[in-house]
Amino acid sequence: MTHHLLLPFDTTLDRFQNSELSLPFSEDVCQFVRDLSSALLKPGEHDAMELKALAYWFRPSQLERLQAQFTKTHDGHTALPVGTVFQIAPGNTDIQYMYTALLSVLLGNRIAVRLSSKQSGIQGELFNVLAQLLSQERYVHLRERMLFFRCDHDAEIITSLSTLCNLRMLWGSNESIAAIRQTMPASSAKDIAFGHRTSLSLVNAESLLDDGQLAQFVDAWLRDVLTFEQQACSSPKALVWVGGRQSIESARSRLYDAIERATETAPSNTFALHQTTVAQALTMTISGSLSSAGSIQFLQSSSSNASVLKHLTHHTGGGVMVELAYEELDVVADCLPRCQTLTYFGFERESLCDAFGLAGLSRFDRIEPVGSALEFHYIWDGYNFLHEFCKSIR
Amino acid sequence: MLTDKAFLQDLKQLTMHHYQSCAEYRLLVDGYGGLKKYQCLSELPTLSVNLFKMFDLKSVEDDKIVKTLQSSGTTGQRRSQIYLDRETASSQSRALVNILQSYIGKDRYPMIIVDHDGHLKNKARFHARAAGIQGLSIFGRDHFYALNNDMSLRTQDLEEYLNKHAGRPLLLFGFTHIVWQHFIKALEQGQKRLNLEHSILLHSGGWKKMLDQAVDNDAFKKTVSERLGIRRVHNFYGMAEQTGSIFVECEHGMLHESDYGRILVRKVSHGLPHEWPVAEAGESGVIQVLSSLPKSYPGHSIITEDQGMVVGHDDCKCGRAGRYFKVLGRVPKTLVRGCSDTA
Repeated sequence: MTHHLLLPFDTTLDRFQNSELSLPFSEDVCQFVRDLSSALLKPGEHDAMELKALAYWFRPSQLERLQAQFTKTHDGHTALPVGTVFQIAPGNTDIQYMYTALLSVLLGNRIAVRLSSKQSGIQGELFNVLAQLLSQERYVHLRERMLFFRCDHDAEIITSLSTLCNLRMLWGSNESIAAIRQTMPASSAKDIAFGHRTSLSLVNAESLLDDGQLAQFVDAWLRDVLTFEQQACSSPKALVWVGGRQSIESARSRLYDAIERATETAPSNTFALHQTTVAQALTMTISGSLSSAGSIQFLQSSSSNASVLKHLTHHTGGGVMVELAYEELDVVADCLPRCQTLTYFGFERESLCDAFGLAGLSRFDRIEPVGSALEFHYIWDGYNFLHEFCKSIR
Repeated sequence: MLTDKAFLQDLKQLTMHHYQSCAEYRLLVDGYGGLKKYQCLSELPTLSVNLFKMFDLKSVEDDKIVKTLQSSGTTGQRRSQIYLDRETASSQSRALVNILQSYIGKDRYPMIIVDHDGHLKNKARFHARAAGIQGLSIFGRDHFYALNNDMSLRTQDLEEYLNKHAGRPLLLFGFTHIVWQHFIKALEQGQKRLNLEHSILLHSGGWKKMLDQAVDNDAFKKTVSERLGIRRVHNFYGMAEQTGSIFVECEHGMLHESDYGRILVRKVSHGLPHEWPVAEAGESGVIQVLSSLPKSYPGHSIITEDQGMVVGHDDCKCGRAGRYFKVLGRVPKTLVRGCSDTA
């Protein structure tokens, strides 16, 4: 029933709830974020790619753009922070919760984040940097506005925070979300849930017949697939080929070769065992033929596309890619299930949107070019955080 | 001892049998291109041990199933479900007897089970700890359960039991960390030392909790000798997914193959598991276990989550033929898990 405070480790829920809010993009908070960004970007320190990516995302020029976008979003009225934001972070994506946490603070809120029990070296490193910054005199008022903790599913603090928050954000499986939703937030609070969903990459086979495009694709696509070991909701779990049979066969063979060349390092025992489990489990469920190309195992399914897509939600990552093929883009548009992220390559964004139409587009929460599957954006999963973290006042 | 070649014939037959009788297994083998002319053990299709937690893998009709064995696991974690028919269950028992008797002889000594007696309540469905106790009980007589239900040592009753059998060699069995924590440490706390010269200790089970306390095999044996007076200690390596064909530690501290069970150490690489190179002696890798016993479920070739190393082949100081090896620990689990886990 207890909780374990991570940062700050010596505060109370009262102090958190009584901490003062600020106006969106107030200078002191912006300066804090700039300081955090430069601390993490310091050369020679903090090598981890995730920390660099976080720091880069919150760099000064990006903050300016965010502020400009914010002003546009709230043109004609005033936007104030909602107040207390309570976030339950997923267990599969390391420090991704920090994007929404920092964004919410930038917009004037106080935020409490319940972290999964999985320890990560990167998380520890990040908290050290944060703690150091927050120990500075000029950031004393910010110290109580961000609360990071761990606790069991049924800990009291979850109920307390749910009751006093103005916005609750939940990540997790449909079951864990249902369980947490047994505790309703206050009736005036917003409750946003990001349940378990799957993602796909859509590839125009002919585009990979060109060497330059192939090289570009492999680099970007592997980044999407192998980050977080393919376990994020946004990690593509299937490669949907669009094209004639011959194009697809040629493209596939070129792709396999290119991936082998690009991923020569031998895998760890941990990665290989997880990959084997996922690949074998999928084969037993979907059926098809398994082949291996470098770090990726491909499953060309022999079941109908519809059946494959249905079972994709059971895919738990590990560098296993299910392959599907369609002849025409128009047909694809009608067949794809609801999913989180659709990444595309070899298509113009406009022609995709045209082919999908409104009905088709509304099946996806995000549509991004291959390479950007995991990039955070303030427009996320259909929500615009510049909106969600604020309330509008005339 | 059975040659690798003869063992391979058995396993090829099993592969064909499971292909014909287990739908999921067939899908996997077809995924790998269908049944092949397997030339050596390493070419056989091999299943990740986790699949038994995710699927009900059976190669018999439901009405032939007489027992369902479950692996041990922490609460919340899924457990392997192993379906046994009469034939497989009895061949597993016979193999166990055969294998162990070659290490401890045929005499049935008075036996101390270092555990409590609550495990065997449900005979149709039980987990690895119960199976271990039940399987090994047949090697002893006048069984004494040394622990209470709360895992405390039955000090008084133990003393009486030892007096009753004073001077006789005993057989002791328990899971490694239970023997350590609830027997040895308990005796230590009570400042008691036993003098069980000529007795035998059989133990099995993960070393993780032990290694967390910096106790390795050598330290364990040394303490057993000091605290219990026992010098014949046989660790054995086995799992719920392949009961019966256990690998027993010889007098020189090496785990050995048997007529029923083989081991391959694989060096993970890109490619499918049956394509991973087989490690040379002295090289560590992931342990693959093979057994000629599983007929009611496709468990004859399994990739485990254990790391190990083959030390040699046919030339162990104890004189036994076959490969001899060491288990080095667990492969760390993937650090991050799927979206569904916000634990």
